Amino acid sequence: MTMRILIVEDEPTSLRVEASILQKDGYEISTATDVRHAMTVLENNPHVDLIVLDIMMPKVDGLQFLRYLKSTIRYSKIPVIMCTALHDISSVAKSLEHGAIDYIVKPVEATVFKAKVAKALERGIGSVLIVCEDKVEMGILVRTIDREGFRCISCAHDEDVWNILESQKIAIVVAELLLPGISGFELLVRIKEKYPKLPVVLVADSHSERAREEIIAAGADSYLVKPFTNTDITRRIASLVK
Amino acid sequence: MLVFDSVQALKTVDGDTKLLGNLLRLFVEEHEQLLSAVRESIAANDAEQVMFSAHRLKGALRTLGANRASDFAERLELRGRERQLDNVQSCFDSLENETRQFVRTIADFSE
Repeated sequence: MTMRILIVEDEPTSLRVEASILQKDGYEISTATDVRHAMTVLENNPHVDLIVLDIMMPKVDGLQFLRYLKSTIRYSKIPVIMCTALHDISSVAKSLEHGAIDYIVKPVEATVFKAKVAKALERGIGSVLIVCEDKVEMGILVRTIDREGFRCISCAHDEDVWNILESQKIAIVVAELLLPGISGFELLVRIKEKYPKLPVVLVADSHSERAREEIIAAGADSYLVKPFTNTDITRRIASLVK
Repeated sequence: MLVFDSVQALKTVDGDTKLLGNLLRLFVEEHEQLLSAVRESIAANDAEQVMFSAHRLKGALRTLGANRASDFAERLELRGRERQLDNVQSCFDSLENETRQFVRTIADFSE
C-alpha cells in the first residue's frame, strides 16, 4: 500500500519542491496551501500516514494546527514533521513539545528531507488489521476503530492475512474466532509463531471459560465476547499498541 | 554571496535539473506578483502583511538559491514581525533589485 503524505505549505515554490521530491520516491501526495484547505483534505480522507506542516502561515499557523491535530483523537496518531525557516527555530521547540515528531529547516535539502520522511513513517504506529467474514460486522468494527484515529485494513481469509502482514506495517490484529477455512484460534497460533510480538485480539460470539483460557494460553493479548461496546474494543486496542 | 547558488538549488531538488528549470520558469512568471504583495503591504503600513508577504517571497527565493535577494526578504520579514516599518523602503528597493538580477541570471537556466 502506498504511503500517503499531506503537505501543508502556503509558499508555492517550497510546496512544489517538497511534493515533487516525495512523489518521485513513490509516495502519494496531497497538498494544502492553508489550514482550512488541510482540514478539508483530512475530512475527505483521514487516512494520512504523515503530515509535513509549515509553521509560518497566515491566519492559522502550523503550530495552532499541530495543537488541533494532537488534541483530536481521529488525527492524533498521524506523525507530523514541521517545516521552519532557520531564524524561527524557537517555534521548533514548541512544535516538539506539542507532539511533532521531527522538523526540517527550509530550504529543504532533498536527501535530508527524504531521510526524515522515511524515518517518521517508520515510527508511525501502523494499521489495525481486522479479520472478519461478516461484512456488516466488519463495517461496524472498521468504523468504530477508524474513529479513534487508527487506520484499518480488513480481510476475510487467512491467505490475505499473510500477504498483508508481509507487505504492510500492522500494529495489531483483531480477528473473529469463527472464520472461513481456518479458525481464529489457528490463525492466532500461526501469527504468534511468525510474529510473536504482534498483538492479537480475538473476538468470540459467546463466552466459554475454557475457550478463553485456551486462547490466552495460545498467546492472545486480549479476548472479547460479543456484544461489546465501542469503548471496550478501542480501549483494548489503544492499550496494546502504545 | 551568489546571486544564484545553483549548487544549493540543485541539492534542494535532488539534482533534478528539469524540476529546477520548471520552478525557475514559474518564478520568472510569478515574481512580479510576489514583489507587488510586499510593495502594497509596505504602502498600507501593514506590518503583519509585510511579514507574511516577505516570508513568502523569501521562501521561494531561498528554495531557488537566490541567497542575496532572500536575505533582503528576510530583513523585511523581521521588520514586519517586529512592527518596525520605519525606513523599510530602501530595504524593499534592494530586494526588488536583487530579485530582478536573479531573474536575469536564471533566464538562461530556465530556458
